[in-house]
Amino acid sequence: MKLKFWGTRALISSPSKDTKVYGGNTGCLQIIYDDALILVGSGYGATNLGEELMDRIIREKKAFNIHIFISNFHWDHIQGLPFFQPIYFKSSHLHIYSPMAKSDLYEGLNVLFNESYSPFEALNKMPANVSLYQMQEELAVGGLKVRYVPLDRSETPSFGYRFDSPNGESVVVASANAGEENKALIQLSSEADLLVLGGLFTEAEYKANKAWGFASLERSLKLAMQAKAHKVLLSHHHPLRRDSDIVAIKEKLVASKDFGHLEFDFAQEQTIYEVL
Amino acid sequence: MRVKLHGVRGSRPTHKNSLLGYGGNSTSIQFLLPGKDFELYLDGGSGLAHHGLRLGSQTKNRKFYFLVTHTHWDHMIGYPFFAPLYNPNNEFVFYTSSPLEKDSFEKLFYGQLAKGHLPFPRDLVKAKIEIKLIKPGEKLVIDTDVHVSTYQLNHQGITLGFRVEYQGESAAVITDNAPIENGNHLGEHWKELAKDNSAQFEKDFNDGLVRFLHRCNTVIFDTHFTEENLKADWGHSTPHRATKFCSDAQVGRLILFHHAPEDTDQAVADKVTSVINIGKSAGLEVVAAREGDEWPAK
Repeated sequence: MKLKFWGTRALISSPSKDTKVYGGNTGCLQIIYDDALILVGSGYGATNLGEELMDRIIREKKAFNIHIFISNFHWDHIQGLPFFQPIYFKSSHLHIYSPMAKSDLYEGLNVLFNESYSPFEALNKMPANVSLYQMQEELAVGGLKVRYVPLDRSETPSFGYRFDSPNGESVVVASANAGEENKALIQLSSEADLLVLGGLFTEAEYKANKAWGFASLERSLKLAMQAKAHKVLLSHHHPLRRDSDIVAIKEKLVASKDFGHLEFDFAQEQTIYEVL
Repeated sequence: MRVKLHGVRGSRPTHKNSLLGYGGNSTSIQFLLPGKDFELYLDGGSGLAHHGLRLGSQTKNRKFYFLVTHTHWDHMIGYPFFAPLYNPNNEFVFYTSSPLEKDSFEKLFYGQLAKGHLPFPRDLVKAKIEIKLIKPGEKLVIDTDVHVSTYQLNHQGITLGFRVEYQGESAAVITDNAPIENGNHLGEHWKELAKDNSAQFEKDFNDGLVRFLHRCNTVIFDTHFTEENLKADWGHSTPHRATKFCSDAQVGRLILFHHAPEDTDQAVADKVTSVINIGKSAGLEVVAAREGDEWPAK
């Protein structure tokens, strides 16, 4: 299993020469395993993947099955969907998963296709075949076992997902994790090879923005230590953070020695991360 | 007067190393008006979000006017992050004609702040907000001597072009405007309006746009497509169409704008090259919109 971030940014895209390393698109992460195309989130980052698939869709007439897990309906987690080019082709089949009721999932995404906000009419009028699934306890997708937990955000239902491969590799993606301790997420992340958590705020920013509900970098790393995760990638970067700011924050966290031997880094767009 | 380009990209903001020279943020333009103590903007794409996050919520006791061309995402997504909206001591006026009969601008603006779609508390927006509904073609005066005229463009729903005149200088913005030909009538109810005399409808639209832009100093014009990849029913124009309108209207400077998200820096530069000589022969300067740039309206 490998991971590739197509979008790492929270709230709003940050295209800039100052964000070249860590990335400027809103959230989208690809789980690479065999031939399966699995995404967590469909922020604007997804559109760059869509552009790359075009050649195979048009010239090779390749029909793609694309699996998308939705963690919540915050714009930055979904807003790329109407601009994800495979959705313009009848040959594509999008499978969209969440533990929410299918009608809620449809409604939460369909607003993106509202004809006043977009040149489209509705999600179910797009050329691609779009199937929605309400996740039960466990699911098998593209050879991976998928489980979820709620992320305990009070303002809106949000979910973290765990992907296990048959050869024992595991990835947990929960970049919208909340600041308060979440026992279910710690349990889901137990001994995960790679754990993706949120890094929107520093602890000082977290205290000043508690109503936003996102964990600080420090709280995310402490959660990873409790879960005994093997490696952490912090994503969901603040839109105003330049590459140099992220490097400075990282150096401070490393120097603090609060996180023992925990291996962690800040997620970079386009970099492919080996799970093991 | 000067125009400042906070966002120049069409359809969606995008970040890829190959296009950061011209910039990846979506539509946001500011009119800088010497001697005025208020601010004037056009649209609220992601470029506005970054400008607003930099201004911060401490910005106060200011009045902001916004000219709203239309409500597609790339022109709207920045508003919730324009931090001066969070200060109760700021005042906002939005001029919009969007879409009168369906979703109002008010509904769409607050719809972006709806529970579940943004992580921050909805009551964060504390500024005084006034939404003024205008009709296509209507003329406005802001603060006695800033004159604004409007023209409905060939795009889905009701999309307005704006022209701003101040101190004898003029700047116009034509975001999102498809070639009107062969019945490609995208405006709300236009198909119905044009059904008995399509050719005349198209001629009237084109003549009207040339009159609207007549002798304008600086025009920012949608050039999303090229003649080769034009999809007219998507609602966007090309460098050749923009150059033709601006030459016919005796415009001084054309700024190519609303770059397709797929356009690399090279592709944008090639668009300028493709029309620069056609412009020159008509006395028209042609440049490409680059995020962060400021241009005089003279």
